[in-house]
Amino acid sequence: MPTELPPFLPFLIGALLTAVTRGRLRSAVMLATPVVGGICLLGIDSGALHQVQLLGYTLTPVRVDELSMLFGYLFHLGAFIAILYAVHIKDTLQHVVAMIYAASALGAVFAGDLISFFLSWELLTVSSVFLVWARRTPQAIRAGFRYLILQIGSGVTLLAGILIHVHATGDISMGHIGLDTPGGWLIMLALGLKCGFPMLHMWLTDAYPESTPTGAVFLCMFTTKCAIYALTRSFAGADPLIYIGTAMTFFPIFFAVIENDLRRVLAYSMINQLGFMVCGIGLGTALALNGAVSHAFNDVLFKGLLFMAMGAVLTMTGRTRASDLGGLYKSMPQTATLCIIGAASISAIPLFCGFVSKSMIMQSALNEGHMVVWFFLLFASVGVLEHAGIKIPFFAFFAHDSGLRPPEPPTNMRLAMLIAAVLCVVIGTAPATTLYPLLPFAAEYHPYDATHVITQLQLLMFGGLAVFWMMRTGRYPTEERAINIDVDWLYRRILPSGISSAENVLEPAWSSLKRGAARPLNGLIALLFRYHGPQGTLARTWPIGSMVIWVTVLLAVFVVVYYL
Amino acid sequence: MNQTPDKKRYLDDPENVTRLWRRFVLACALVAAIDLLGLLEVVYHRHIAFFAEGLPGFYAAWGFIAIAALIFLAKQLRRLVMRPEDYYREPGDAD
Amino acid sequence: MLSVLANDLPALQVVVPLVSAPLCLILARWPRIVWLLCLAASWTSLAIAIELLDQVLSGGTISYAMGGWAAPWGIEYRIDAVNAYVILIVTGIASVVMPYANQSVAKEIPADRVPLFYALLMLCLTGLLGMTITGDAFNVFVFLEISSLSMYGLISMGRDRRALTSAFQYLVMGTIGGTFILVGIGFLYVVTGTLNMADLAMRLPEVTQLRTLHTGFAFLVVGIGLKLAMFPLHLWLPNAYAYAPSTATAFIAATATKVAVYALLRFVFTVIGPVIAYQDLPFGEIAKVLAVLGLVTGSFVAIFQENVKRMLAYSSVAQIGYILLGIGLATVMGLTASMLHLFNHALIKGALFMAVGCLFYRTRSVRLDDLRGIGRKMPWSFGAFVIAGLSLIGVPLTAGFVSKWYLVQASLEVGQWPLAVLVLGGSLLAIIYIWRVVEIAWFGSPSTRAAEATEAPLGLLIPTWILVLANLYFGTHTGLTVGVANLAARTLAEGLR
Repeated sequence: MPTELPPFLPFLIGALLTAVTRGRLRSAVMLATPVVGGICLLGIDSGALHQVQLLGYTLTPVRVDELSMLFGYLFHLGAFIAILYAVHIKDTLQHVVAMIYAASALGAVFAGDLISFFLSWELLTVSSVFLVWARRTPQAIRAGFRYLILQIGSGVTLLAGILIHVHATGDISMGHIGLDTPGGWLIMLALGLKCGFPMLHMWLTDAYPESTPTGAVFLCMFTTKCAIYALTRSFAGADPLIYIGTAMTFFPIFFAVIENDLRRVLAYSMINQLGFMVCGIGLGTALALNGAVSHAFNDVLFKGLLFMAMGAVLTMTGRTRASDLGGLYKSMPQTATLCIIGAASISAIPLFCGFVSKSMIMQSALNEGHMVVWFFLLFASVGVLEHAGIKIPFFAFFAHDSGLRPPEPPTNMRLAMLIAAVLCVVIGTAPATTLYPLLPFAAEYHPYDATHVITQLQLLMFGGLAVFWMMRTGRYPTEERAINIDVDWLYRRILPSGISSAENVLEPAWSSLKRGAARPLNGLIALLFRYHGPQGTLARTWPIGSMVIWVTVLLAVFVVVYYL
Repeated sequence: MNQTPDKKRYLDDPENVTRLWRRFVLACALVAAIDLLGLLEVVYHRHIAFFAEGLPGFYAAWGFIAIAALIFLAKQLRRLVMRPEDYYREPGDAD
Repeated sequence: MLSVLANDLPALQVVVPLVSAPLCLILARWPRIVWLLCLAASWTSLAIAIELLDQVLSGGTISYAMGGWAAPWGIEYRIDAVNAYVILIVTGIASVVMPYANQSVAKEIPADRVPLFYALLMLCLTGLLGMTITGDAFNVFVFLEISSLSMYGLISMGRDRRALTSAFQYLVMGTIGGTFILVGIGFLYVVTGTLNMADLAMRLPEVTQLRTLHTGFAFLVVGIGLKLAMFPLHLWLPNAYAYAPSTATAFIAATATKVAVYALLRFVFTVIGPVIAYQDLPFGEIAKVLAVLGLVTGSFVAIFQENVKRMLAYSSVAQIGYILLGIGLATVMGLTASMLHLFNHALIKGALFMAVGCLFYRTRSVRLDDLRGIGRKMPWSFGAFVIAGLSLIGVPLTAGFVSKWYLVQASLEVGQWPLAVLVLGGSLLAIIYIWRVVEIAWFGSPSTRAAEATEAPLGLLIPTWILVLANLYFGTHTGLTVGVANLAARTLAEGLR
């Protein structure tokens, strides 16, 4: 039955129903939403389905083609898994915003024009921040504010980019934009913030680990994937993306090795995976783009699975620090097994789903003759094995015994993880019948040939050999109860306490910078306050005489100017 | 948390761990050895895109070296970026 | 009977509220009837306004000779797309504020003064409508004084003792403004010998005493500038808005400055003519400079305010900057943006001040400190504030976005990139001052006043939400507003080329 129901509508209705129902009924409504939405999506017509007139432009809130359909299926699948994972908690706020969040993600991937896309983009921001705030700790509230400010910054940049782009071309359709105009650069920058371009990535590693155990699962599925979708749609083949993507795969792995909070390790790992996708988009061939979107697809599954496993650990033990955990396999064997499947998938071990998508991007880099890029990607692939493939399951479930013996998480959580794990294996073993038919671009690819499997095994096994060898010989860095500063340090530490505490932290060489940057800023605010503050010249209640003087002055100005 | 002494697991015995480690090293050696056969085109035919890729043991070596370099560099990075856990902490924060 | 009345609609537009004002005092013993009377009067005005706009859109300009004396000897009411549109704004706001007034006024005004308050409100409406509808320059002054005098009275009725001094300040400043306008009109009369606007427009190009004309224009612009709170003549406005009763603030903030803007447009474009104003005289440049100054200063001051009503008042100064900016650009697009913002800002500020009135109804305070945590206690009132605030910022799908969009387009059209950046920058500043309120009122732990508060009564919430929903409606259905604003802008800009 062909339908014309906008794909985001079921989730919005679901959000409404979630808000007013309670208990088992609510669980049923929440689980039914992605199912009903998915059934409607299966029968949807392609093409521009809805059009609205606004400000003299024709908006297309729903445009269906193969690329948006792939993400449509993915988001329904992801939403179902994440909802199942979260369904046991009793927090109306989280449930409702999660539904709205999923709806706005669907709105973004089906938006046929830039204005509809922008609206979904903003809704994505606003709804997602509540998943961070829902943790309700002071750290989470502050991290949420930092997240919100940066995301709104992305929104403003996007709007500015769209305005300039539309003004220059008169075209508001969500299609190829490219980097020929300043508008295009701004739009790419805005998308880049959302998918963690280097130096713009800090919100991800800052806020995601502070979110609720279940919220993180939603967060890791939607925001960044929307950005990947939009980059694929609008900036396929943009050369800078190759190098940006390579940098994204490269730098987070170092942070991931030394990070103690395992959910933060996953956040770094996420940037690394996004880097592969961005690189694929930059390469721009059909194979590379297929690789990028299919890797996005698989990333939702295996990164979701890993976040779910760590969320289960957090729920059951209240901790996620590697230094506090260990030995959990004894009481949580099922979670440990599922986590290992996720780890195997993200490491791109043959027969697991990461293998069948990442290799497309690597192969394209070779095909296009980007040798240096390929070496970096290969390096980063091994790095994934280290931090996500080994570190996550090893430190949580094995390593030194922490003495914790938490029970397995609730059934719905395990079920959600099981679904994701099964999908990881099914897609990994039979990509030609599951994932590949959905891919939007025309390119033949067969991941399973002997050379590829054997070289991949060599790469990964020797990587693993190195890790375990270093562990056994004490060369591996110990888990420290410490944090590592990242780019967010600039605004969390330097900006606020620029005057006093910076002196202790920074060497004298920095103090000149401090004087250079912080003082004028504080001075500027003080200056603004002096004139604009409640008692400032421009804000206080003036005596009538002064008001009249202004009248005279202005009249004099007018008369004199007119006289001239 | 349940603190009653639980039964001894396989992995709790260091000897077992060492045994597993040896088996893993052996497996690695076998996987690398396939390259030699590949060189002789006995087991499979290698597709290579460029010179370095065709060197026997290239992937194995790259995997090992990459991890070693990664961990070494990450340890250096720690000197630069590691801070005490309460670095950003403010009064009233939960643990 | 009806058909007879139909011909006199322009007169009725002014007469209906005018007659109801003294009736309020006569019926003073029954305050409820007084309120119903005012409600009926404002709704009738709205109906007339809609009918007039309809007639103008289908049949073109309406000219109505008051008392049968033909122009230019008698007083002419002249209605084209521009003032039909402004009349719609004024009567529309009055119709929404009036239901709101009932409970709000009962709480804020001593019972014996309630009929007086309504009488003044009706007079104010009369004055504003008269100023807009008339085609006679001197008549503008008369109605201006009616509206101003009643406004002084309305403001002075605020509970805060500072209301009296603010009203007095406004009285002095308003009188100076009125006098300037009168002097300006006097100069025009001296050089042309007529007071009818259409007649003036015809005769002015032949005028040889350019000095007198230019001086007259300067007086007019400064006088009207005072009424519309053009920077730096806005100093009376923050206190007047802050200390007036909630109903009065909502009504005045949404309408009075708009009508003053209309008067400015009328004098600049119809009477003096854009050729003299923009080409012979640098009116456009001065307007742009003052607009930018007002926009920036108003926004920054708003950020630091501790009193929400004062904050919104300063935000009005900034918003008037946007309107003035469009006028300064002197293109059809710029004027369209200004006309649109006239309408949208009325919706926005009306909704915001009404929402704040809801909060005040329960907490008896508009200080930010006292509103700490109020958002969770009064979610509907505060929700209205947030949505209207989003519209003020100019978030897409709200009315505020539409006018900002056109203003940005208008700036880009004439190649004025810095102005477009400034408009967007102003939105960022608006985010800051709206967010400050949201952060304190939603995330703060409740103050003692907020802890006791309960949700505002429906009598206040429903009218507030009507305006809030109007913000969303006109943010998505731009056919009416953009169409009429564009028509009005083209009517004004006829003399531009």
